[in-house]
Amino acid sequence: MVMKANFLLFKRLFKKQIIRFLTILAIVLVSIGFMAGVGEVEPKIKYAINNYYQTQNVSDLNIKSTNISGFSYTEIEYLNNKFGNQNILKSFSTELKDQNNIIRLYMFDFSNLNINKLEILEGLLPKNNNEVVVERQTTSLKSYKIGDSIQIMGNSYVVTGIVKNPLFINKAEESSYNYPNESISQIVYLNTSTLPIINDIYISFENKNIFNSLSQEYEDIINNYKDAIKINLGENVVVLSLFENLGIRMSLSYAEKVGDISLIFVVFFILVTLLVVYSTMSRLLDEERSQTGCLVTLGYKNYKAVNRYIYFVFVATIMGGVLAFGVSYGVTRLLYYAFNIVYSLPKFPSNIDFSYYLIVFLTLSLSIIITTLLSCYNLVKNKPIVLLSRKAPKVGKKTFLELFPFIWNRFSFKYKSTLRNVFLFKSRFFMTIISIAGSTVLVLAGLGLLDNALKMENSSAIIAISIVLIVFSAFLSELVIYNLTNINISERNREIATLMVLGYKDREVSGYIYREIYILTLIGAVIGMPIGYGFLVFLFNYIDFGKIADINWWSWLLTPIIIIFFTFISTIMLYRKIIKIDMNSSLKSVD
Amino acid sequence: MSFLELKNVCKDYQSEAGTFRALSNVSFELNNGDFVVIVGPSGAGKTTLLNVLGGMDTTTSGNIILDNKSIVNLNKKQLTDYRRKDVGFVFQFYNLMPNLTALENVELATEICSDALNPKNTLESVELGDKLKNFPAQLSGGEQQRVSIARAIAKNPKILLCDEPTGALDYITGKKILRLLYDISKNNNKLVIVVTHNQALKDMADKVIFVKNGEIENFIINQNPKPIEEIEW
Repeated sequence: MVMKANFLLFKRLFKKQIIRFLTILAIVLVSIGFMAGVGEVEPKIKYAINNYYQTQNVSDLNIKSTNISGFSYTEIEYLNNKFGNQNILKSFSTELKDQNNIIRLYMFDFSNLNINKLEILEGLLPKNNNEVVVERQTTSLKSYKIGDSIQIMGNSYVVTGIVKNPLFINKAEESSYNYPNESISQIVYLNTSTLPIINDIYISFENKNIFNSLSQEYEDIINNYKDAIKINLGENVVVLSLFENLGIRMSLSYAEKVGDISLIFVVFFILVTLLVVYSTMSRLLDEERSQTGCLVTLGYKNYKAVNRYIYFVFVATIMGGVLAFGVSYGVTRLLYYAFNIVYSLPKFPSNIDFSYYLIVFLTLSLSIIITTLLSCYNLVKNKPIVLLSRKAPKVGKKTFLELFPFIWNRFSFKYKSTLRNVFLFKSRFFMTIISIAGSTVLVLAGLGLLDNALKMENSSAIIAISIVLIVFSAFLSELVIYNLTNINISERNREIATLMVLGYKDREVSGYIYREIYILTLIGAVIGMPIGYGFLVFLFNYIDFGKIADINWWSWLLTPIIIIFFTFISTIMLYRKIIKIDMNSSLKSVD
Repeated sequence: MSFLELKNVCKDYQSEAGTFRALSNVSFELNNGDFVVIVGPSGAGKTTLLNVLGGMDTTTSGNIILDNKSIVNLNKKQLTDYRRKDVGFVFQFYNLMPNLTALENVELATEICSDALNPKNTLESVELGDKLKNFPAQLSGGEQQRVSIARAIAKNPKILLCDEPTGALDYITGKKILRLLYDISKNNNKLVIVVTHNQALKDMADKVIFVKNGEIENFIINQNPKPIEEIEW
């Protein structure tokens, strides 16, 4: 019997509070979608780069000889002994200038190319001596087509393939070694078994696992080798490592920036989400306290008297969280490819990694359940008689404004009522203000980040995360405000019905409710702005990117306008809910 | 012609189970200054009748004429206008705004009416002149109902509709409220209609309407209504 009655109550709760259910679901969806999506970018990029580094056997060191005759036999012998013959790629490289074009030429033996394996994008690797492959077209490198013929040092070569060198994941300009302040316009790879001289040597470490996204351990090893090579080969060599490789370094630092940003915002998203769920549920519990009181009076155990609310939140959270997987996957992919505009990362790893998503999902859902348990406990700890009687408004309480009659008396009574409603319910007031202020901070942070990204060169990818942040903050803010408006309407159902019976017009009735929402939004936004300012200072400092001065003045203006606009949208969306309230509900007893 | 006239008023509700006739051919006439009691068991159609009279619901067929104006076939806006200007409503559970003082609660109604009475004077007339600044929670049930009555009459409506006005009050307070309503009908020459399930109240009314199964079972005109103080139940 208990099971059955409880199930019925659960069903009714679900039906009656469908909007609240969907808002909780949507907030969880947006929250987890953002957190897991953005959080997964760093691991994904690192995974992709590590993987690429291993499969293409990317060289860890590049040693260039500045000698006209290149490396001497003893120098090569030293390196062979130190790193193993099979871990060394010997090549000749030079740059050729014809008219305005600088062509960089690499010559090496393609027959056993196992270091810096060229990724063939089109065509084939050269087989004959008069064949070459060229680097893919980028924003700075011009394009060749397969079959084109190129003149190099008086000889004619046919292009047989377009390749991607794993060392060139940078799409931006590649500066020339030989012609200062100029950048090269094409890279050509020529197959030869007999090098004129060896002036460019690539070394790949035996143990590829130490790379680990340019870890500290790896850096130490690199520095040791650099010193050793310098000592043994003298001053005529330049030793470059992946730390000097702009593409790889920038990709990893982008990954880390996104990681840092996500970490900071995760905290904010979790806080806002928990606050919203807590206030939504405690207000729902309060609205239906007489029902709970009745169950307790009938002898239901405390938990049984409120467990439907736990299930209610649980189902909403699980559904929102499951749907969030798709959203988070989309966000990760989007941010991954956004970075590809400037740097060409390896293909998006096809492996689906649930770990980050699951951590976020578990953390949030657990905190939500605990939060709901807390609000349930706060209710049932009251004696049944307290639950059964209507929560009395604090007798004769006055707002602080009423202490100043010369201000208070200027308000029309409509505003007096609104202001009392706003200020007299302290916990409701603070929860509302904090969640709106939190949303304001998020929107402002997104805009501030975007402004900075737009002003800085080579930070396009940060534009993407700013936009993602703005979009998700906007959704979250809209949901927060919509939810608050909805709750307010449902709590004031009886007052609304009374106003209707008194002959208030639809616009007047909605105005009665909406004035309150607008005042709360305004206060929340006003409080959110300085917090947002402080947060941005912290954020810029933490991620070592951007400054307050680079934020456009209109972003400061736009943020509260956006928040107020969201309130406007919510009030429009909920207008029908108000005017459809049944006047007869004013006749029924207080329940 | 009477001040209020109902002619063959019917009200049907559609539900999954079919059509339910809540009011069936209801006809009666009432005048200004009448103190009218509508009695009947629960579910008889009293509330539906009150809703239709109060402009809170529409009729299915028939006509209602108040002060030479038909109030059926009004659209939503016109119905709002009708409730705003012509109807005063007293609720069983007072329905005061908890965050407004007694005075402000009355102002809530007068603010939207053009020829409203002075809110303060109205509250004084229901003997609440010393509680103008009290919030509902600081008033007793009877006092709250008097604020509710003041709110209804301050609009200076054509009819005053009262839904079980003593339903939530104790015996003595209830009687006082009924006395107040009765006096309003006589002193201000207002049509006051009280809906109740308390059969005893029929003795105090000028006219009594018995409702049963959605029909008018009986319509009685009391030549000598008894003062409420003499009625016991």
